[in-house]
Order: sequence, then C-alpha cells, then structure tokens
Amino acid sequence: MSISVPLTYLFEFDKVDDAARNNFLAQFAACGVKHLVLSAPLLNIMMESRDKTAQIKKEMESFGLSFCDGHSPYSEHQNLNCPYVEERKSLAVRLKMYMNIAAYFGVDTMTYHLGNDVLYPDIPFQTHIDRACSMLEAILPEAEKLNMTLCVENIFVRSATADIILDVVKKFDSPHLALCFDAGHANIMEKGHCAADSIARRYWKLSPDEPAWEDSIVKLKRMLPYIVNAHLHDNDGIGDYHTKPGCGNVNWREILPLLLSAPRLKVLQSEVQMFRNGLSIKETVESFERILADVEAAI
Amino acid sequence: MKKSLPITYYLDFSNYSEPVRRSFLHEAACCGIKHLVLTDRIIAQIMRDPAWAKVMQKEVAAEGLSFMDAHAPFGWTFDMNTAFVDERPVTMLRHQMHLHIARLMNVDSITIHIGNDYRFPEVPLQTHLDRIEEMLDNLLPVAEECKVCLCIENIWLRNSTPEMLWYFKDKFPTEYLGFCYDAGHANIMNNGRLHADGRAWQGWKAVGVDTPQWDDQILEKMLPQVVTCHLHDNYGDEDQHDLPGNGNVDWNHVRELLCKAPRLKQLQSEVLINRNSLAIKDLADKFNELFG
Repeated sequence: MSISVPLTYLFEFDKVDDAARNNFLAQFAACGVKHLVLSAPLLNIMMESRDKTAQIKKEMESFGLSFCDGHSPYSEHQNLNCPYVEERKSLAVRLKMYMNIAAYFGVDTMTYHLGNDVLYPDIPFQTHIDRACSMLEAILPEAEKLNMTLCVENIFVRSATADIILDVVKKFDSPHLALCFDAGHANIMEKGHCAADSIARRYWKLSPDEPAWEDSIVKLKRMLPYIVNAHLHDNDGIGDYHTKPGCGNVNWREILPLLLSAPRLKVLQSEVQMFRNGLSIKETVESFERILADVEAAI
Repeated sequence: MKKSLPITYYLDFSNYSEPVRRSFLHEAACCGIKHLVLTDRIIAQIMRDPAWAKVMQKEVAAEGLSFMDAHAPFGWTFDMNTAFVDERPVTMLRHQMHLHIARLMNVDSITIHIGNDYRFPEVPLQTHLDRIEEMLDNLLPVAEECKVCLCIENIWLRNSTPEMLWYFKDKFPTEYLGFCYDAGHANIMNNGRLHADGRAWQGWKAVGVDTPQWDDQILEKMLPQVVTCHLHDNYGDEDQHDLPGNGNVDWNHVRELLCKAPRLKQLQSEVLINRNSLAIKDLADKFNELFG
C-alpha cells in the first residue's frame, strides 16, 4: 500500500479579496501544494459571476494549482433534503450547474450534504430522506453525463449517519454515487457522548434517542467499500472545529491506513479551515505531511 | 393610454447595506412607486445565495412594493451567443436558473440579452444566430415550465435589429418568447446617424459593415410581440439610460404606439438614476406624467 491518491486543500476563497487571493495561492504553491478544493463558497462566487470563474481558473493555472475535487454548496436551500418545496425544481438545476462548473475545471468528485432534520420539527424524518433521494435521482443522470462521482458525507446529524447514507448509496447502486468519509464528523459521533453540550447532542434534539454513537474505525470499515473522497480535519469530539491534524483527538494512526485501503478512493481532502483556526498554510501542510509520513513509515 | 399598465422601475439598490436599502425602498414608496424590476444584480445575488430571495421579498413587501418583471444578468462572456464554446453547458444552466429565479420571485417576464456580435467579429453572423437559436431551444421549455415569458431586446447592433428578433420569433412561435422594446436602443439606431462616432457606428463597423441599418420604425416592427419595454432616453450617440426628456426620443410617438401593443404587460423605466444623478421623485414624476 502506498499513498497514491492526491491530497487537496480547502481554501476559504470567499474570505479574501482579489489582491490577497494571489498571495495565498502563491503560498500554497510554495508549500508544495498541487491541488485545492473547488469549495462550496467558491462555487457560490462562480454562480454569481462567470467572469470570476475565468479569472480564478487563470490564477490557479499561473501558480501550477488545480482543482480535483469539489464540495457542492450547502445550506437549507442547497442541501439534498431542501424543505422549501417551491425551490426544489430550481435546486435541481442549481446542483447541475455546480456540477457543470466543476466539470469545467476537470473535477470528477463532488461532496454533498444530505441535510439536517433538526430545523424542521414539523417534517417527518423519513420525508427528509425521501426528498434527498428524489434530488439524487434528478441529478444523477447529469453526473453520469459528466463522468462524475457524487459523494454523500457522514455528518453528526440524525439524517446523515453512516446507516442512512449507506442505505441511500446502496439503494441507487450507481457507480456515480458514493460516500465521502469525514474523519472529523466521525470523531464527533465517537467522542461527543462524553460532553453534555457536544454538537452531536444539539443536532439530535428532535430524536427521543441518544445520538448514534459509533467508534470511528467501525464506521470507516462499514463505509469503506463506497468511499471515494475523504474530509480530513481534527476536533475534540465536542465541536466541529475543522482544525489541523494533531490539534484534536482523531485517531489518525488507525484511520489513515484503513482509509487508504478503500478500493474506490480517489482523493484525500484537507478540510481544515485555516482562517477560522488561525492557522498558516505552512503549518497546515506540514501537519498533513506528518500524518501521511507516519502512515508510510508504518507500511 | 388605452389601458392602464403598471409602471416598473429599475432601481439598483440591492448591494446597499440593510439600513440604506430599507431607507431607499421607503423613499421609492413615498414617491408613489409600486413595482420594481427584479434586476440582474438581485438575480446574480440569488444565484450566489438562494436565501437572498426571501430577504429581498421581505424588504420590498415591507414598503408595499412588488417585483413585476426581470432582467437577467448579462455580459458578453455569457450572453446567448457566447463564443466560449466550452462554457456553453454552464451558460445554458445559468440562464435556466435565471428563469427559475424569476418564477420563485413571482415575476412572469424576463429580458435576456441575445448577445452582441461585435464582441466576436471573427464569428460569422449565421454562427451567432445558430448559437442564439440553440440557446433559445434549450431555454424556452424551461420558460414554459416556469410560466415566465423570455423577452429578447433590440440593441444597436447587427444581430439585434427587429428583423433579427423576428428571425427568432418565427422559429419559436411559443407565447413564452416575446420582445422587449428598448426605446433608448431604438433611438441609437435612428438618431445615431447624427453622431459620427456613436455607439451604432462603432458596433456595426466592428463587424465590417460601414453603415448601420438606420431605422425609424423599430417599434412599429416589433409591436405585435412586445411583452415588456425599457424606457430611457439619450441623444442617439451613447446608451445613457437617462430620464425621458433628457435626450431626443420621441416620447409621444412611443406612448401612442405602446398603447396598441397587444401583448404588453408593463412599462419599465430603465433609467439609471445612479449613473445620471437623478432623484427618485423626478423619475417617478416624469413617468407618471408620460404614462400615468
């Protein structure tokens, strides 16, 4: 086993202006980064402005950077379970447009949020899942056309547990639908039970049951055959901080080797939010180099 | 006027801060304005953030105003004739989204630019027409699904004369394709002949035509399919989007003909008050005087 898949880095494009963006892109390149994530905020920017799309493409190329995975924008208006019935038709068009912009950049995996149920106590739980499935049904032909894999991500909410997303993916049984293993979210669903105020407990408040606590390795093993993309970030199990590996208690030594054995894995993604955590590009990149070197040394 | 048509106003306010937006909308309401154009900027903002739709609806409704017609985002890089061929799938979806956003904002007509041929002078005219036709073929079923009439507009260029607009209308007889009569652009194609270096001369020369196809019958030609209109003034040289009276458009002529347009839904002020340093009150007073 060797680390043969690309590692891509999340950059918060929406937080910088045009002038600053080039400094950060230069820094990524100087730190040896080759790929950035076509992120949700960036796709939102590109939806607003075609010309910004062309500009960013040119800038990325000038620094030898490229996109190789994407994250479909997420919000209650953009998640697969969108509860606003009148918006669902336009959402299908919107999601196809995100996919086409991604394809324009050569991106072939996109991650999706199935959506949260916690905000909508009046909507039966199963309706969220049914709506997510009907949206996937509407957009999967476009994925096939673009030769793209849509990846549904595990989150710390009742409507996006490993069980739920595995059911969804198995139901469609499509080579264009797969899973994104989110290591930080898995950690929350493993260690959040220790804290009364963990984010998982807050997002499960509509459920009469305890959150579906699960060991991350057990979860990963169950998801493994369907994993195409992975979000790598750290936390303490209580909050979803998206900090760098080593700043939390994610068990990287066990997770990474197992993750790298996933038969369909195409890409690893740093989903560290650097600005939010006051991190530099350099130290973030180094933190990934360290955990990946550990894995390689162990092989 | 034969029938009383609503007047809608193109007001570009949506990038202001919330308190300024609220004050601006209140000002508009105090000046008697009832209807607004769902502008290209608002649509672009909703493209970026779908939640913005509800923000706009709420703020507009709070002043007793409503959106009545729309203008899609435009630009030479993504108008219907765009020569960026590899981007055309995204461009089609972009315009589909514009139609859906109009539907969600309860607007039933939207003007979309077919595009300007002078931006791509190396592209033969027929290729422009074919590309626009392909785009319309893709968009009109969506327009029908959304129950939004897609309006194409006369500009001062070779590929957007009334004859060209009819070329497309004849190919697509659906009621969901209509015309937007632009009074300022029509004036450039008429009184532009008086200005040696005016926009029309430039635009036609760029595609190898020495003399523009001057026309003082543009509204007459478009009239049967005019669904919406852009009313603004200029002297024929530049596309000033100024207040009626601040140019040489023959407003009596425009008014008399528009009242006979069988499909016309509303009268739109496309005066750009920011560009021309105009007061909302003067704008509303002028349109009420002319069309009220």
